Amino acid sequence: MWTSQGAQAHRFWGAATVNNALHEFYDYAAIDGINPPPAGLDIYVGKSTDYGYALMSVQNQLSEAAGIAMGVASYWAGPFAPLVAVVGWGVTKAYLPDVYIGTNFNKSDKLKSLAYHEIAHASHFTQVGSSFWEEVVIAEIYENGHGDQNSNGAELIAICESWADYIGGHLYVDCSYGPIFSGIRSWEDQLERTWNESQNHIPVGLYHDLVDVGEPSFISGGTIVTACNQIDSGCTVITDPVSGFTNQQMFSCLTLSTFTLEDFRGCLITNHLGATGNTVTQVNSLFNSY
Amino acid sequence: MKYTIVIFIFVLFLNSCIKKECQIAGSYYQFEIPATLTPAKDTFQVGDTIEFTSSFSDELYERITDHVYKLENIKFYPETAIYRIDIVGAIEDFAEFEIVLDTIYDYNFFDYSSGARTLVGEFLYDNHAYTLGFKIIPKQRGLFFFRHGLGIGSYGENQEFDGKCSNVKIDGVVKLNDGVDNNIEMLNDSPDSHYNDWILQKPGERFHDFGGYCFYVK
Repeated sequence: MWTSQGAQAHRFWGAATVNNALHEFYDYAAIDGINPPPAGLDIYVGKSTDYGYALMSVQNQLSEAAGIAMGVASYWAGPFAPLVAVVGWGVTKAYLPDVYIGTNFNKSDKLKSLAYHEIAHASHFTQVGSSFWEEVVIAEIYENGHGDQNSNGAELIAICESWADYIGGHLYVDCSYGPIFSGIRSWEDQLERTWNESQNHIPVGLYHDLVDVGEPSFISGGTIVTACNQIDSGCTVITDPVSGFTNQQMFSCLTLSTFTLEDFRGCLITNHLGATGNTVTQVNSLFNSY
Repeated sequence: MKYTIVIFIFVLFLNSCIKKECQIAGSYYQFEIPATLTPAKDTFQVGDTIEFTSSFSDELYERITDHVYKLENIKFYPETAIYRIDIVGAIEDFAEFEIVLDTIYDYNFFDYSSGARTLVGEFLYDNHAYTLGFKIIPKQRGLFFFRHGLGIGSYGENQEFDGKCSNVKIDGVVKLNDGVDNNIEMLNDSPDSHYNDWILQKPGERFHDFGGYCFYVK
């Protein structure tokens, strides 16, 4: 593993890991029956950051105001502000990649998690198109990230980010690493303990609960809880009588008509409930836990 | 060429925006959390009592910056498991042990759908100190690998402390029994290559940083 940030060993490792992640995502997507990312994806790999974004070239549709907001919002840590300041938004947007992936990680599985997450956005993009994705990008620019439950566009951010973090950020990392993980538990086990990303926002754990049988539990502070938020404190009891949905079924519901969790729930019930043996009441009770 | 110049300016500006002390390779702090397993024997008898304790002040040493920071009321998400390693494919489920939990701690069993059972919860934070403890009583013979780590690298990202760089996340390692070998050589006795090979390739980050400890029960 690399030791000197930005040195050749780091840059080569980062680029190779991201390249491998892209190829592996194609394989996993084919197995799951979901869309791969579009061909000719333009990926920029950064060495100083540990975050990513998937603009999917919709920056070309964004206004000057959105571009400046992007620069201001990411002034201290983001990659946009310097470019906007130096050459203006009109020039900047021509050089922004479809996908940006920071590689300041010292564990391969953590970098793969980010890479799969961003590539999952690219996969989702192929199903919803540019106009839909432009709304996602604008919502996240104005929130300087994922925002919170009260953000403008919170519902849209929640559905897009939760899917990417489930399928890319965790599940495909578990496919690649299984019991060989850098953290305290496997990536799939982490999903089982995950509720939302932040309080009432971005239900990362929902998709795994739609697939798996039952819900594990533990006792915390005298209250039975089953899953906790990723970045905020707070845990809850997940009511999970649901099982048997597939990644293909869930992905098929992430269309340009699905802007909210409610849209997603409706699509699953309308199109896939019969094939799973679950009832409407069961599905509703799970969604109500998020 | 035009692309190269723009990217060069971009990188130059980006690097200049991050304070030097915040340019941390890997993007994570690594706080050292002390813990002890007593008595620190290599072989126990069925029915013996092994005590795990982790008590420490909220002024913690951080490895990457080589500084001590004050971390008040931080949630570290500790998690404990015991793996039977003298057979291949055993699930960590505490089946061979009786676990005596202290009700003053928020630390209890968590059952994963894989069948794995671990202990999870949180340290008790009081009077500027963190504490956690429980007892382990072996019920069956075998070779075992005790592991106690922290989940803070995966959860609780929004927690803060004085001097924290906004672009760096909190992670921690468990320094068990002051960092002695903790019978790591016993991993060689396992028939499972996960233990006798993979962990031993990087014993620091795959064994010691997770409070690893091996022991026989005879």
